[in-house]
Amino acid sequence: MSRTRLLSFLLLGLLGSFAVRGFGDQPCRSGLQSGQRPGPYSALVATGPLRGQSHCFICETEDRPAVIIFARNLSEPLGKLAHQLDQALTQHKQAALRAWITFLSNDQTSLDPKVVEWSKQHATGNLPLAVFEDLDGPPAYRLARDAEVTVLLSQRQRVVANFAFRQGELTEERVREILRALSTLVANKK
Amino acid sequence: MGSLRLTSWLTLALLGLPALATAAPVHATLGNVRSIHLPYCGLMPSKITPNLCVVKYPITTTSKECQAFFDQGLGYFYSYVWMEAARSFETAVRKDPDCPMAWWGLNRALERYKGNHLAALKKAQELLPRASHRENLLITARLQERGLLPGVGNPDARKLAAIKTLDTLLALYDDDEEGWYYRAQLAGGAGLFGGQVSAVPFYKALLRVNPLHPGANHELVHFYENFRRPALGWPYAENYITSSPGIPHAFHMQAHLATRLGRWDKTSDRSSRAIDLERAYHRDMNVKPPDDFQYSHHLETLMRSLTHDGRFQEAHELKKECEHLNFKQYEPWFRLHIAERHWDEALQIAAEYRKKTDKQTAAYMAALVYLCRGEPERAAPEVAVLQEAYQRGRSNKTLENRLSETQGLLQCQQGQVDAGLKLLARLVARTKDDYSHHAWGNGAYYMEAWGIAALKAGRLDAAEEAFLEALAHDPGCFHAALGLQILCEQQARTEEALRYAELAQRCWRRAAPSDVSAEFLALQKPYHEARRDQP
Repeated sequence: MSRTRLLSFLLLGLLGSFAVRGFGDQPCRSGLQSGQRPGPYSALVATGPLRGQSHCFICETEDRPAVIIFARNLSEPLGKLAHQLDQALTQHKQAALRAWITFLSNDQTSLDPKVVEWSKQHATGNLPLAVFEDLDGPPAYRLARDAEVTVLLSQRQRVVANFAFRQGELTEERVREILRALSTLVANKK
Repeated sequence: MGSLRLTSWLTLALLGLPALATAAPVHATLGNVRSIHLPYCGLMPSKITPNLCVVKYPITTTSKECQAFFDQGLGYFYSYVWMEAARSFETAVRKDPDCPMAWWGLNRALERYKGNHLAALKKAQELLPRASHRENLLITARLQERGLLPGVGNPDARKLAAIKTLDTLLALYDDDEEGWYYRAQLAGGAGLFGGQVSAVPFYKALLRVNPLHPGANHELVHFYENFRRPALGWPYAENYITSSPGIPHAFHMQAHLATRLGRWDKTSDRSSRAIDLERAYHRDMNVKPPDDFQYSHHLETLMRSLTHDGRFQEAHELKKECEHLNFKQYEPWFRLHIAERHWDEALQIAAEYRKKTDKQTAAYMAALVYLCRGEPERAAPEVAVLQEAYQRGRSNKTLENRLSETQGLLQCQQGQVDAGLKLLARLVARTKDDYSHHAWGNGAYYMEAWGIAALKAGRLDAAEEAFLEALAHDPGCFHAALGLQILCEQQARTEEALRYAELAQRCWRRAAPSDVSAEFLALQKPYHEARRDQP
């Protein structure tokens, strides 16, 4: 390999690492921001008593505190968050907390049995899981294509916190961060 | 024996119809020209249609043709094509008059179609010694259920006896598809159209034996629609189509679920396929379309779907065919004409109702046309007719909804916007959880009306609420997506506007561009400008 070629490779490598770092430094931005109103949308419910129905969770939430999650895949880290939320639903029953996960997919029929299985694996018996049949999600939510998971905390029909994660960004620390924000949300409710 | 009668006997002998000589069916008038018809169903014999249905149930016969017609009969039977099921089973009987299961199949088909079904069952009973053990149990269960065995008692006792026989059959032969299907029928599926929830475990057991059983898949599509969980019926709708690639009804059935789920592309494409198959069937079997009791319903479904998707030209062609066949589908035609802004044709339909002395429907339709044209003065007397009728019959929910819709729109156009929108919002609240109203994609209809009125009256908050509701109820609602696009553009919400524009484009991707533009312009125009444009 000639010296010029080697230099070119090194330069490319350096540029690449800058690019990756630069990308990583910018937090993922996806979905409604604080103060915005989460609008109604329906998704096909995969688990729980509403299984098989098209349902609008936002509509029934009204002013109650809620955790609204949009996800593109059935990942392990999301499973951990889902499990914690499932427990939170029981824990914060008095605060009338609502939470659900909406998976974005163009093929609900194929995804449905996988969602059911994933729900069993992560013991999310109380947390409704649903599928929205459009990879872009409900247009009003402006979900980013590169956002693997978007978490919105809302109360009185306004978003109060927004968390968005690209693939691999939803770590245990970030899950704890969401749960801390959730504790604040339900504490305010009380 | 007279010469005519002798000739008939000779003809029968030549046709190789020994069964006819022994049977005593209603249609077996041997002395007339109808003797060439099958005696039980009164139809010409069937012929094998390749790739009709994958279902196969081997029966005791040495005749391959009998087996083929029996299987074909099952395929038709499970799709509620009673006439062809009867014709196929009776042709199977003709191929092997000693085949007990062919008579058993004929009994089932005639019971749904017409003809002496008990005579066919008695024939199966006579032939019981020729049946295999499983077949014997199937036929015995049928004889018990129909009270043709001595000492089985009242209908409840007969049913219990039949269940016991079938349970024995399934205990011995758990792969018996007909046993499982029949068991499901006795468990609550006898009324068809999905039956009761108690039938479902049996249909699912049958699908474990044969995932492509057309009967189980078809029933489960109906069941999950009626059970208000259309998404759960979808895999069965897909498998039903795979099981019955040559049967129109299988393609049509998906629309029952697709229109509720907003999967309109599937509705139109599959409904079109159903119609193509049906036309071929009419040609091949020399069947008059009005004799095909499913055809009118299938055409209507396609008409609604094409209208929803803005495919007006194709919908018009379909209307012509319906008119030619004397299928009068005024309501979907009216919706088509309103959608394509063919006001005169829409008014003609209103006039048809007036002729039929259905003055309420006529007034409702005429009011809608005038309101769509932005002519509140002409709409007002029609709305008054509805008001007057409502004073006399307040329990009539259809009338109440029609009045709310037209009165709300009228008030918006007359400047009483708050009152009008309130009326429309109430109408939506009243109907949004009405599952039967939501059939055939109707769920977003009033929401659309509310949203359009609010948008044109400049009440953007109400319009947004209405259109979002509409999309939540019908993800394929073009007018809601377009309305939200316009609304977001007016509020400089560029990114959202683009997303809604894409959605609207997807919803009407097969519509004529001129129709899309016309809708855009109409929705964009506020009421006061629309009125200024009036001649």
